[in-house]
This record gives sequence, C-alpha cells and structure tokens, in this order.
Amino acid sequence: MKIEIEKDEINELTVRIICKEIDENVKTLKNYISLYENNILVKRKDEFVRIGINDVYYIESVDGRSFLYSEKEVYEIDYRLFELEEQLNKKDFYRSSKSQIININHMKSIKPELNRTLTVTMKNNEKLSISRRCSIGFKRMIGI
Amino acid sequence: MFKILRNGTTNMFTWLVSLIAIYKFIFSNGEIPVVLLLQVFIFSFLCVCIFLFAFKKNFTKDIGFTGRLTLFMFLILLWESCWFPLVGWFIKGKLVQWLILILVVIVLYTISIMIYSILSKKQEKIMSRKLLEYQAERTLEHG
Repeated sequence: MKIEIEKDEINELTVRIICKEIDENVKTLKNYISLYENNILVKRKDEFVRIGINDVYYIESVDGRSFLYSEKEVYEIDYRLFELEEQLNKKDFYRSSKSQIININHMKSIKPELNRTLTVTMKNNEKLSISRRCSIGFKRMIGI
Repeated sequence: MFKILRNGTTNMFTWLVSLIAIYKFIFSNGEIPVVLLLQVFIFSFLCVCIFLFAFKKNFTKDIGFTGRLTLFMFLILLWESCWFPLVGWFIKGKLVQWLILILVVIVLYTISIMIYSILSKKQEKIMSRKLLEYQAERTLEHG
C-alpha cells in the first residue's frame, strides 16, 4: 500500500483512497480512518449511517457478528471486537467480557455481586455485566 | 469443591458434636452413642452437599444471592423435615419442635438477606462514587 500526503488549498482535511476495487480491506481501511474522527460507520436496515463514538453505550459480539448499542438503537458493524478494542480509547471503553466492550462514560452505577462479577447500570437503565476476570482491572482503572 | 465438602463437613460435625456433648453433660450422663455420631455425620455431610449445590453449581449461578439463599434454605428445611423424624430427633406430633425449626430458618434467612443488602448497598455507593469521579476526570480531559 502506497501512502501519499498532498498539500492543497482546500479547507477540509480529505483522505482519498484510490483502489482497483472496493473490497473488504478497503472498507476496513475506510472504517479505521472514520474512527480517527470519532465516528463509526454502522448498518441500520440495509443503509449505512455514521454515529459518534461518544454516543455508543456498548458493543457486543453475538454469534460472530458485532452489534453496537446506543441509547435506544442497535446497529450492526463490520468490525470485530478486537479490532475495535485496538481503535477505541481505552480510558473511555472497557472490555468487560469476551464478547462486550462498555463505554464507561455512559455508566450510571456499579453493583458488586457475590460471585465477584459487577453489574453495571447504564444511563438508559440497561443492566450489563462485567466478568469476574475483567472486574479486577476495571476496579483498578476507576481507582477502587 | 472437595476442600469445601471436607472442611464444611468437619466444621459442622465438630460444632454439632460439641453442642450435643454440652447437652448430654448437663442433662444426662454425658455419653454420646456411636449411632448418634453417625447420624450427625450424615446430616452434616448432606447439609454441606446442599450448600454446594445452591452456591457452587454452575446452573444456579445466574439466580443471584437471594435466589441461591432461598433455594438453600428451602432444601435445608426439606432435608431436616425428612431426617429429623427418621432418626427420631423430632418426636411425631410435637408441633412446637417444628415451629422452632421454621422460626430458626426464617430468622436466619432474614438476617442473611439484611446483611447482604446492607453490605451490597454500601459497596454500590462507594463504587458508583468512584465511577462518577472517574467520569468527571474524563470529561475534563475531553474538554
């Protein structure tokens, strides 16, 4: 892959991908660049829309497919969970289990359970769970 | 699993035998029959098995502490109701014994739930406060 930087008089920073055909690699690259601007391309009823990363409540992987949850909506995304984990800010998003990444900024309360997992209530009152293994790192992260 | 079974049975058996020894010392000649020791051992062993079933088994892990405790208390009560008349610890027709047993279970159940609720709420408050502090820090960083 060749990377070129070109100076121009245009006001907005533009990234142009030149390719023979738009394959999966190109789509992934496009998504990576989109994430740089705190946006993510998501699929909703056969159409692609862009939503702000800060609006994401949590991301979940179900049967090999990834889903992104905002306050009220659910979107499907092309990323795998580990790809997203690498891209997202680790201070805002926490890998809460094998199949889930939670946005810490949208958490409302945390309740410790007897089996050493944590039950998190999100700002939209949805309840999520942080696994036993991940709860140790999470507690350390928020200073408990 | 084996460790809990071994330690639990040992603790419960020792505790019950101590109580029986005190009782026998005060109210009779102080002798404890071997049959009684065997009965106490079987009783203790099954009680610990019920505890393991309610609190350790994987299929009960999603029902939460209150659910597990309820299941545990229910099974213990069931086990005691079968075992006590069978070995003659409870005399048939004596209602007061059953009432005391039910009362003990209810009191223990209530105390356990209360302790759990108080500790859980306290922890929840501390954790949620820490979370808010963290979120405030992040908001400052975001500008």
